[in-house]
Amino acid sequence: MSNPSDPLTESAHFDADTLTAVHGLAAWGNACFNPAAPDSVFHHAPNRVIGTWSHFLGGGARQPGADLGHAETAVCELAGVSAVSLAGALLDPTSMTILSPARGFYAPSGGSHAVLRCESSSQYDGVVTPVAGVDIHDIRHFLYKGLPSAVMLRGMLGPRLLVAGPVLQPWQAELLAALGLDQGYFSIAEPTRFTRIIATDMMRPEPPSRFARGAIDRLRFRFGQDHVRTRRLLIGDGQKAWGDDWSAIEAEAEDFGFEPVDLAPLSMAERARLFASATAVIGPSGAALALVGFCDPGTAILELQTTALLEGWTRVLCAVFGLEWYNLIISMSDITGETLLDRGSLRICLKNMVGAA
Amino acid sequence: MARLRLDHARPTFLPIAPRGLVSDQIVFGLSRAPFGGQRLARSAGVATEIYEPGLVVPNPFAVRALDPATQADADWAESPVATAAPIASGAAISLGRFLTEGLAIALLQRDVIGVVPLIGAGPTPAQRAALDALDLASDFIAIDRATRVRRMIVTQRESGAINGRVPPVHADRFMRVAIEALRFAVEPYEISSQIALRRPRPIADYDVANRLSFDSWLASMGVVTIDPTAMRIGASDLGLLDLAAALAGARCVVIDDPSQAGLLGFCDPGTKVVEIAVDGWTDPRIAAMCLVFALDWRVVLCAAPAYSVSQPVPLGSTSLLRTEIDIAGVAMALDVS
Repeated sequence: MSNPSDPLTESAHFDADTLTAVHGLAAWGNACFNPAAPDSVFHHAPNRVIGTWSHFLGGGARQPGADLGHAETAVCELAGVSAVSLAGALLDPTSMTILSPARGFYAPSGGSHAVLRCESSSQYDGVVTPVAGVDIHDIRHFLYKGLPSAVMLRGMLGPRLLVAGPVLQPWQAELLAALGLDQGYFSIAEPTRFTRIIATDMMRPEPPSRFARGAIDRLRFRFGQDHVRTRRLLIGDGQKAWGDDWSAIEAEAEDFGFEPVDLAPLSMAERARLFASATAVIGPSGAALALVGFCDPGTAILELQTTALLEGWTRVLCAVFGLEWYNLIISMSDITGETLLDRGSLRICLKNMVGAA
Repeated sequence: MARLRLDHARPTFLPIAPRGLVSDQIVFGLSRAPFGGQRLARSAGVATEIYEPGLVVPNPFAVRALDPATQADADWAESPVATAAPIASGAAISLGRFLTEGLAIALLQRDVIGVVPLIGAGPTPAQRAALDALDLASDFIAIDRATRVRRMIVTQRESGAINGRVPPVHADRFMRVAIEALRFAVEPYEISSQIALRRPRPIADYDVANRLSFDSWLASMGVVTIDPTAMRIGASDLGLLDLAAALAGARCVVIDDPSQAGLLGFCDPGTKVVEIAVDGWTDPRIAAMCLVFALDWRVVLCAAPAYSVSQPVPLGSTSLLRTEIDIAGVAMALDVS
């Protein structure tokens, strides 16, 4: 195989919008499986602005919207979704970079130059979609971005579309098996060139799109639910960096009937059933709240958000999945970097969330 | 004999109207709160069981387990396949209900349990298009009478009986599955940023005193009306994918028929949904569907008739109940961001 780096520069990236748009499901199917078809794009959804009201924006002097560039209104932008069909493209299983020899790096997949320098690329005669994007090892990105992309594309284009990626971790393999995608999963160990790669820009790190629901709802159906549905969960695994403040959060939460849970020993199915059994969940921003998509719509979610990490991921996730999002901003000392928990605000928040202690 | 059973979800409640039933922000028209001020809609439990054998009735749709000992005396047809999954389909099932109930369950069963032939009333053209798009049409067995299936895989919604009464359910998460799959297969197409989903028949079973005025007002505001029952937009026929694309391209939808609430799922998150409802006769299905699909719900309450519903039909009316759409209330609901 020839070295694919010849026509490229170190900065050659391209977006979906640079490709010719295909309109209609039948035409798109042809663009994906016809070897002679040119590279193309199918636009599934444009960017949308959505309201993300919190039931309690307390605990800090600032409203979180202000830190995300929305000073007065609690709105977030939901990224649009497009799919691309790239002939003769390469997939690097380490970085999940997609490289089109004719165009450069597919921008939503990042751009690891390792794939350019690799001279031992394999070649496979088949049409594939990557199982995840650049953040393949991050459970949030795998669950709500990469996996839904593969599930939706496979549902749209049928079983001729294979799912490809690296050797999966056990939790990832469990999720694929639950969706029936493990059969025919194409595991690769080095950058591999395919007849065609079909990928969406859902692999970008932005919060999830509406299409994440298609995969999570299937998983929830597959995993089922325990008979108890009254649990209140505190997720966080100690949050060592928060020191005494985390102990205070545990104490206050336990007053309101929350139980600290350790997810580490549980399988993905057990974790999904645990979250499905919850009526309320508390956790810090980030991966701790990654599994709230398994909760039933209407479940109360309290995001403990420090002023050092005012991201919008969880609020959009809650909005897209119909969850009640509560938000407590915890200030951080400018000098020591320690959290400065306001216990009074926490209690008000918990009371609003689940009623009196 | 105990039947094999898998619980996918337990019955629960959905807290509709996340911002509360706030007058002139969420509720327009009359100064009374809909649903008696309650903000909880019912979400169904969902469970799969295997009936050996089972009976499926196409219209009105019903399924039940049969006692193997009594099957010989009954008057029903035999299924041509040994194993099948029943589906609520046919002209008696609205498109919105078909997509969110029958089709969603069929897709979940196919993807999670495996390929099983579907058995139910012959689908309407729009239902057939949805089955085709999801590659579920080839194994469909159309029936026109009660049919016995030797092994029937039944996934049902369960609302949980209260004192022996089975309450209605309004929405659940699994209703999203087929809608998302169909929505992924279309590119949004903006026929208009404002669409009205309305039947030619009045709201529910009401006579609407100012229906023509309201239709004219909607048109003057640039709102394009789609009749989802006839699948028409003006004089043009509409395919299912056209309908999905048009709703995906809209940013505001006016709707008065709760049985079509499932179609709102084609709208992208954040779309404003203005429900027209009649005071005292409100139905939470539209509000519940908006929560499940992350839509921005408002309701315009129209006055209920003052006369007793046990009276004879008023002279000149085609139905017992009558209302008048609050056009000023709808205008406010459309304007408020």
